[in-house]
Order: sequence, then structure tokens, then C-alpha cells
Amino acid sequence: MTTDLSRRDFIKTTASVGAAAGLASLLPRAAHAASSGYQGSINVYGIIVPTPTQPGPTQLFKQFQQAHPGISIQNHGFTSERFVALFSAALAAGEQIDLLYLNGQDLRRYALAGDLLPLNNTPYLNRFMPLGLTTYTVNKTLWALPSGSTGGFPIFYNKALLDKYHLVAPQTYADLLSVGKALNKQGVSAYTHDGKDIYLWPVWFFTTYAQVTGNKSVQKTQATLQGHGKFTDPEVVEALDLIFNLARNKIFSPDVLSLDTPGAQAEFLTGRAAFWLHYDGIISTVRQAAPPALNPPGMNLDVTLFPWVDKKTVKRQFPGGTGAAIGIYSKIAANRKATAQQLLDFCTTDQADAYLVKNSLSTLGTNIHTQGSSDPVALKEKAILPNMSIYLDWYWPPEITQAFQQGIQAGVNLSKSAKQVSADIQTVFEGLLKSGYKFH
Amino acid sequence: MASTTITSKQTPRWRRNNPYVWIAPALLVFGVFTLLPLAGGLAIGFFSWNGFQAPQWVGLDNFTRVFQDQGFWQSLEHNLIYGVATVVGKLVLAVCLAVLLNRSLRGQTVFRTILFMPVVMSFVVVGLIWNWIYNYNFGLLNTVLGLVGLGAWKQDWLGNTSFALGALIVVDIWKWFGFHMVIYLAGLQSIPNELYESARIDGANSRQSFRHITLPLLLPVTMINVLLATAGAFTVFDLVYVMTDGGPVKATDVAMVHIYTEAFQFNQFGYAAAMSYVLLVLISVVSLVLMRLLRQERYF
Repeated sequence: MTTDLSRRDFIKTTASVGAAAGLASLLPRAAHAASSGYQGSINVYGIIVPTPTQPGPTQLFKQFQQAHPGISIQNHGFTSERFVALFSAALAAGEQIDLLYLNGQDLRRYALAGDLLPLNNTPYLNRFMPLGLTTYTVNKTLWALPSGSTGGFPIFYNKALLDKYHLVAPQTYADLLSVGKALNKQGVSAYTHDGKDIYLWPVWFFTTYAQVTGNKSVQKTQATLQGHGKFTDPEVVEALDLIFNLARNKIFSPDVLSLDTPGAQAEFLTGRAAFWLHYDGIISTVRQAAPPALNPPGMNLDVTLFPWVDKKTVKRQFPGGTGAAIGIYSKIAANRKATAQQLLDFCTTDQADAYLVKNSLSTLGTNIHTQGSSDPVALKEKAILPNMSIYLDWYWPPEITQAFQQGIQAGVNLSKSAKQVSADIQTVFEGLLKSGYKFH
Repeated sequence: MASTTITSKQTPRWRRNNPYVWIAPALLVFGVFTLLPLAGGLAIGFFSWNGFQAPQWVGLDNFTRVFQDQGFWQSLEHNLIYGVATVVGKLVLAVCLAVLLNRSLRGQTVFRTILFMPVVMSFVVVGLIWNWIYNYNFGLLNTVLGLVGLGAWKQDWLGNTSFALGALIVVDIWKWFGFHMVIYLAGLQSIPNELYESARIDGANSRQSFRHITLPLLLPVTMINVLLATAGAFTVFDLVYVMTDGGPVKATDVAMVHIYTEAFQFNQFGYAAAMSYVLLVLISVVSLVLMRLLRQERYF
């Protein structure tokens, strides 16, 4: 009997099976978990959208179900940008919600709205890295536990492309402008960016603002939101102008405002752009999705930090987050609470974290003892993790986030100056203050 | 009059109520799934409600705010441009193709099917296809322009604030002209052939027949098409959401996307409901004006 299986297909299939088996061995064993007596379903609402190659937490849910006969975990997962819309609809429809698996940026909103139970008395808090716990503590109350990967948006670049044109990753802002000019002469853009996805623009501001504030972007943001500063302060204007100046110098791809993630990815993988300020999930994308045919000069992925914009005494920081935030819904029925707590514990063990990190090919987990990815680029990113600063939109109210998103897009389109954009943002903020907004 | 009374007396009550019994299920469905949510939506408009906390009564505040919201009126302006361009584009294309396909033509059914295909495609699929057609580097449009020596016209069609709305209008026309074409085809088939034969005997050429027979007799169908296309243009959402999400820099922000953002991004459900009702009133006014025009011209 003959088959049409090519050698490449065979290797690929064997590797997938091997990887799946390897991942399965990483899963935590919970067969002897104590039963809370509850039988039925536990509904998890959140941002878990599994794919065949990256089942993520749903694999953990399956393990939990096996260990707890009679319990079924229902995952109601929505993509990050649609979560708020669909979650609100679920609430309005009065659906039973037990666990919330949130994007870090949404935690504050739901914590302050009283949708989560406090978790300060959780007995196993010492398993987490302190940064994660600090991030999910609002008003001295811990509302969620970190889960998954710690990582963010450093600068990824195609070193092979730079080598081809005898260029190196820029160390200063001025270097970046000259590297951009040199690349443009070759018909290559310096930076691609998924600029159609408006919610990704603020990562540029987080990057530049971290440096112009002398690495105090989080503190300054909190102070501004508390009324001890304004969005029209010179540091905000300067950070915005550093981004807009990149557009003035044609550092971005010419189609940056219409590129979605697949489009930006196509530009990056085909050597039409050398740099990408993107989430570190790009490491797995490059490793898995780029067939040799798409990779003519050889994609040599590397990672670096955004160049110094002025003084080299400041730390070059990159924005990032401390994994997803898992919490218990405040209106959970009493008979389901113990099971939800067990599931929360199960999904945040070191083994679960190690599995999640491996599953998403991430750099580092949220637990102290979790081993991250062994990919060379991921290891490089791990080395620069002390330079990570928390995304500022985890503190901003959504209206301010949108004002930044639209303002930066307008600035990159060169239809507004940094001063105008910052004034617009301040106007939105003053409107919020008038309607009773208070930063807690 | 007398006969009516007699009939009424003679018809048993159960029989007189019979029609209501038959339409009751449909009325019930309409009431529960259309009228009730409509009333509920209007009620939400009088509250400040974020979707997960108790609503607070704010009276007419949300409605007053709508009239001060420049963003909303700007988005309506986009709807107006979108409406005029798509209605004209779709109907001109639809009538031309309908006339062509109304003739005896080999493979007529195949052509009709192909031209109707975009109508049955999902907005997401259409959006994704056209996103790639418009892609600056890899898109079909820029590639073809380059091949025919018009490389200088290469554009970032969806990323340029001057072109983005126009690019969406083209997609909308492409998606819906087949639907209007089918309505026109039905209209064309109801025009008696004798009229064309008489005109031919009187010496009219095909252009004159089209001008003086086809177009006037297609007017009732045209008005239906205008009504449907206008209502569609003012409530467009899916295509814009998938292709540009209202960007870049709000250049394609239409009313429904604006309302969606307020409701589901800022959780301002009360204000979004108020905007929806203002939009409903505006669409109703436009539709009523069009229908009045129809009645005056005795098309209905």
C-alpha cells in the first residue's frame, strides 16, 4: 500500500504529534482534587479564543473536567477588541457568569464596577511574580490573578535585511532616522505597523513617553488621572511629536494606516519593512507561519529596544503586561463558588503556567518558577524584561484610550500636530471629569 | 351601504375574526421581536446606563447631547455622501445590466447568477477580499495599475483619508448592484412587448425606446430601489466595521459605527440608544419624503 504522504508532511505531522504529546505532559495533574459537591457547568467569560495549534487554557479546562467528573467548563471566549461588547451583551441578557478571564486593560473597569470578588486572601499568592500582583491590585484589593505570559511590545527586526544593506539596529533616534532613509532608498520601509487596528497605536506613545518621563510613565499617568498634571504637559506633547516625526521622515510604511495585522505581517515577512513594534507573539508567527518561499533573503528575526530619544541615562523601556487577569465574578452563585476557586487555582499553578507559556511560545510566564520559551529571540527578550513598563491604557479610562488612538492616527496622517492632539485628549479628559470621573 | 350591513349581520362572528386569528402568530412574533425591543431601546435612551450597573434616569439629556455631538453629525455627513454615491452607482449599474440581461443572450442564466453572487456573500468575506484588493503592496488594484503603466496612481486606498470613503462606496456598489438588478429585471419583464413593437413601427430607434418606454415604466421599480438603497446607506455598518472600522482618522466613521463605539466601547448604552432613535427619525423622514413623491407621481 502506498500513501501520498511526502517526507515533509510526515516530519510535520510527527512533529505536531510530538509537540502535542510534549505539551500534554506539561499539563498539571489534578486527578485528586477535592470535590466541592457542585455538579454542573462553570461558565468562563473572557478573551480565550482557542485555535487548533494553540488551545491555550481550554486544554486546562479539559484536564479539570477529567479530574472533576460532573463538572463541565464552558468557555465563552471573544477576541480582545470585541470582548467588552459581547460581555456587556451577556450581562444584559442575564447569563450565568462564574469566572472572568480578562485582558489586563479591562481589569480596572470591571474591578471598579464591582464585578469581581477580592482575592487578597488567596493562599497561594507566593507562586506569582510580584509585578503581576501589583498590576492587578486596585485600591489595595487584589481583583484577579495573573495567568499566561508576561511580555510586550519590544522592537522586532529582520537582521538579515539590515545586514543586506550594511545597516545595524539604531541606538539613537537620529540613527533611526538615517537607517530609515537608507532603507527607503532601497524601496524598504523602516517600520511596518498594523495601523488600521487603531487600538495598537498607543503602544508607540507608551514607548516614547517612558523615555521622556525618565522612566516614570506609570507614575506620571496616574498623577495626571488624579488631576496632578495635564495631557497638554510638555512631556506628553514631546512623546507624541517623537511619533509624528517618524511619519514626517517616512519611517513608517506608506500604507501604515490601512494595514491590519496580517498585512503588516506580510510586509515584515517579505522584507518590505525591517522593523515591527509588535507583541512578542510574532516570534511564534515567524517560526510557524513563514515558509521558506516567503523568506527570500532569509528572515533572521531579532529583538531590540526602541532607540534612545534623547539622554542615554534613561532606561529604554518597552510596554508590556503581566498576562491575562483571571477573577471570580462577584455575582457567582454560592454553590458554584468553591468549584470556581478550584478552577482558578488549577489554571494558575506553575505547571499550568508553564504549559500556557509553551503553548503560546511566549517568553516568560507569570509565575516565579515558570521556565519560558527557549527560542533564542525569546531568550533575548527575557534578558530585556527588566525594561518592561506596564501598558498605560491599563490605567486610562476607555475614552482617553480612544482619544490617544485617534489622535496618534491623525498625527501619523500629518493632519494634526502633537499640540493639537494633546489638547484634544485633555478636552476629552475634562469632559470625563465634569461627568464625575475619578481615578481610583 | 345596506348590503354591507346585511353581510356583516349574516357573517358569523368567528368568521369575521378569522383573518385576525391567521395573522396573530406573525403579529405576536413582530411584537415580541420588533416592537418590544424598539420600545425597550427608546426607554434606555432616557437613562444613563453602562450595561452592568443600575441605570440612572437622565430624562432628555441623552437626546440633547446628540444634537451637540459633532462626531455624530460628521458621521451622518459621511452617510449622506455614501448614500448619494451608492444609490446613484448601484442603480445606474443595475439598470444597465438588467437591460442587457433582459435580451436573449447565450448563457443568460450564468451571467445573472454570477452578477448576483456578491449579494449572497457575507460582509466579512467581502470585506476581507476587498481589503486585499486594496492592499498597497500586494493588492490587485495597485498591481493592475502598475501593469497598465499607471503606477503613479498607486494609492493606499483604505489608508488615505481622501480615498477611504470612496473605496468603501465602490465595494458597496459591487456588493449590492446584483440585488437591484434583479428587481429591475422583474420590472423589465412586466413591460408589454407591444409597446416596443408599436414604437418600432412608428420609427423609434432602441435609444428612443429606452428613453421613452423603458425608463418611464421602470420608475415605480426605481423608486423602490431608491428607497431600499437609501435605507441601506444610512444603516451601513458591517462593511465599514470590517474594512476600516471608521478610520483612518474617522474618515469613514458612519452613524452606525459611531453608535456602536459609544455603546460597546464606552458602554454608554443610554446615549447610543438616543442616537439610534435620532437616526431612526431621520431615516423615517427621508423615506416618507420619498414615498410622498411616489404617491404624487402615482407610482403606487
